[in-house]
Amino acid sequence: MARFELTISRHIARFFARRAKWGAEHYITATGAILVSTIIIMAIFAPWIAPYDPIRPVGDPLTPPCREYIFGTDSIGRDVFSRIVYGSRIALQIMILAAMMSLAVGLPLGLISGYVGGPLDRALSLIMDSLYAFPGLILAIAIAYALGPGVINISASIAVIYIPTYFRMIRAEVLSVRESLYVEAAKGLGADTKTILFKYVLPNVLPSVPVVFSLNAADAILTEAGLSFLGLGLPAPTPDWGFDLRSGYLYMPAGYWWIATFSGLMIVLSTLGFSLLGEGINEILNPRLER
Amino acid sequence: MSAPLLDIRGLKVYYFARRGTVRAVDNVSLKLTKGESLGLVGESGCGKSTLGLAILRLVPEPGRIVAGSVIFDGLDLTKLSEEDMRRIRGSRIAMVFQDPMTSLNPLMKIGEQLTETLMVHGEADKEVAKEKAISILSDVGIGPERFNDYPHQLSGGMRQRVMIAMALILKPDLVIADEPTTALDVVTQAQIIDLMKDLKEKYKMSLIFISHDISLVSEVADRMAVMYAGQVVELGDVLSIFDEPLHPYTKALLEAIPNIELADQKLVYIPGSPPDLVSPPPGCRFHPRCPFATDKCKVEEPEMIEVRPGRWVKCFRYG
Repeated sequence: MARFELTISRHIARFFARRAKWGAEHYITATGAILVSTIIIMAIFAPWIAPYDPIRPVGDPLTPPCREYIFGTDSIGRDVFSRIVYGSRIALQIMILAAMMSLAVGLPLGLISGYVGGPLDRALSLIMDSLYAFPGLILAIAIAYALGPGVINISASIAVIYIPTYFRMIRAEVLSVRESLYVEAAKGLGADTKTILFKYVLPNVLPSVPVVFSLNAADAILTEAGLSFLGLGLPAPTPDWGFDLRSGYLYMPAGYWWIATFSGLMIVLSTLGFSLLGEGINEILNPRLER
Repeated sequence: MSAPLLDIRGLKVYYFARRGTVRAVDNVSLKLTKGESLGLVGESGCGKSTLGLAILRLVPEPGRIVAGSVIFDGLDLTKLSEEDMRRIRGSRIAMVFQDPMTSLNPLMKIGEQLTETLMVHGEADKEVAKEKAISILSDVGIGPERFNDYPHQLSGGMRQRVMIAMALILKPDLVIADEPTTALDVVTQAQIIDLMKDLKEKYKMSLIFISHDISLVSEVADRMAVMYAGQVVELGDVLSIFDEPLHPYTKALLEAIPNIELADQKLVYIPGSPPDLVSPPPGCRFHPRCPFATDKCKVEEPEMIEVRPGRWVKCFRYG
C-alpha cells in the first residue's frame, strides 16, 4: 500500500514539476494566463466575489480603503472593489462582442476577396487599407459618438477598428492556401467552389483567427476604457473601469486617490495580461518566431 | 479503329506573363483510344504538365487555351460551360498529381476526402459512399483501419495510393497522372507503377502518364509522345521508339539512360538546355542542340509526318 502511495505522490510531484518547468520556460505566457484567468474568474463569479451592490451607495462617500471597503468608496458611497469586480464583466463582454463582430465581417470578406481575386479583391483591399490607416481610437470615437451609448454600439465601434486586421490576415492565408496542391487536386476531381471554400480553404485558414484575436484583445479593452473615459461609453451607473477612472480622477487632487488608482490598475493589468497571453500564444502557434 | 476517346487537335496553351507570351503548348495534336495508355515524356518545362492540365481546363492564371480543341467522347471540352466541365472532372477524367505530400487536405481524414469526391458528384447516401471508399482503398492496398487517418499519419507511398484511389473512385474513363512517382523513392515508385498498371486493367480505363523519365514511361505506356519545347516531336508505340528512335531528341534521351552493364561508361547528356518558350528558336526548335542540324532546320519548321503507320516524327531527316 505504501508503495502505491509513493507512486501516486511521485506522479503528482512530477506533474507539478513539469508544470513549473513549462511555466519557467514560458513565463510570458504563464503570467498572461494567470492575469487573464483571474479576470475571467472575477467576471464569472462577480456576484459571489463582490461584497456589495456595485450600483448602489453602501457606505459614506469617499471612505478610504479600510477593512469594510477594501478599495474604499467613491463620491456617492459605492464600493470601489465591487465596481471593479463587476467592471470586468463589461470589459470582457465588449471585448468578446467586438471580436465576434469584426470576425463576422472580416472573415467572409477576406475569404471571398482572397479566393475570387480580381477587381473585387482590389476594391476591398483598398477600403480595408484606408480603414487600417485611420488612427484606431479616433475612428472608434467618431463611430461611438454617432451610434450613441450601449454595449452593442460600443462593441460595434471597436469592431470596426479590427475588421481590417482579420480581413488582411485571412486574405493572406487564403492566397497561399488557394495555390496549394490539395486545392488544385480537389478541383481536378471536380469539387465545386462551395466545397473548396468551406472544406478546403476555410479550415486551413481558421488557425490564424485565435492569433489575431489574442493580439487584438488587449487593444480592445484599452479602447473600450478610453471611450468610457471620454464619456462615450455605457450610461452612468454601469460599473466600468474607464468611467470610474474618469470620475475618480476628478477627486485625485483633493487626496481621494483610491477611486482612480484601482480602476486604472485594473485597466493596466488586464491589458498587460491579454498582451502577454497573446504574445505567448503567437509564439507557441508560430514556431518561426522561436529562436 | 474505333472513334478515339480523346482527340486533341492543334491545341495551343499560352501563358500571358509580364515578360512575354510563353508558348507552353504549341500546336499539339494527339489521339487516345479507349483502354490505351499514352506516355508523355520530355524535359522539365517542355509543356507536358500544361498539356495535362489543359485537358481538364485547369491551366492556372495567366495561362489560357488560345486555339485548338480537346474532343473527349464526342464533347469539345474547350467549349463546355464551367459547371459542365466540373462535372466531368473526377467522374470521367481524373487527375493524379505529382506531390502526394501536399495533394491531400491536411485537415481532412482520408476517408472523408474519398467520400467527399463521391458527394460532389451526386452520391447522396453516406453509407454507400463509405462502402465504396473502403472498397477502393482496398484496391489500392490500404486497409479499412486507415479510413479515419489524417494524411500526416501516412507515408508518401500510401498518400499517393490514396490519391490514386480518389482519382479512381468514380471509375473515370481517363486518368491523367502527372509525374505520380517523382516524389517517391525507387522501391515505392515501382510499387505505385505496378498498382497503376493493375488498376488500369481492372477498370479498363485510359491513362495519360506524364513523366520526364523515359524508362518509367516505357513500363506503363503502350504508346509514347515525346515533347520538346511545347511540341510533340515524336509519336509511336513504346517498343518501336525504343528499338529505333527517329527524332534526334528522342535518340539523345534514350542514350542518356544510364546502362548498368556498362559500368565505366560515361554518362551521356544533351548539351545545352531547353529553349525559353517566350522566344523559341526559329525553324525546328531543337536545332541549336541537334547534332544533325542543317541550314534548313534553322529557318523552316518541319511538319509532323507519318513515317510508318502509327509512327510520327517532326524532323526533316524523314520524308
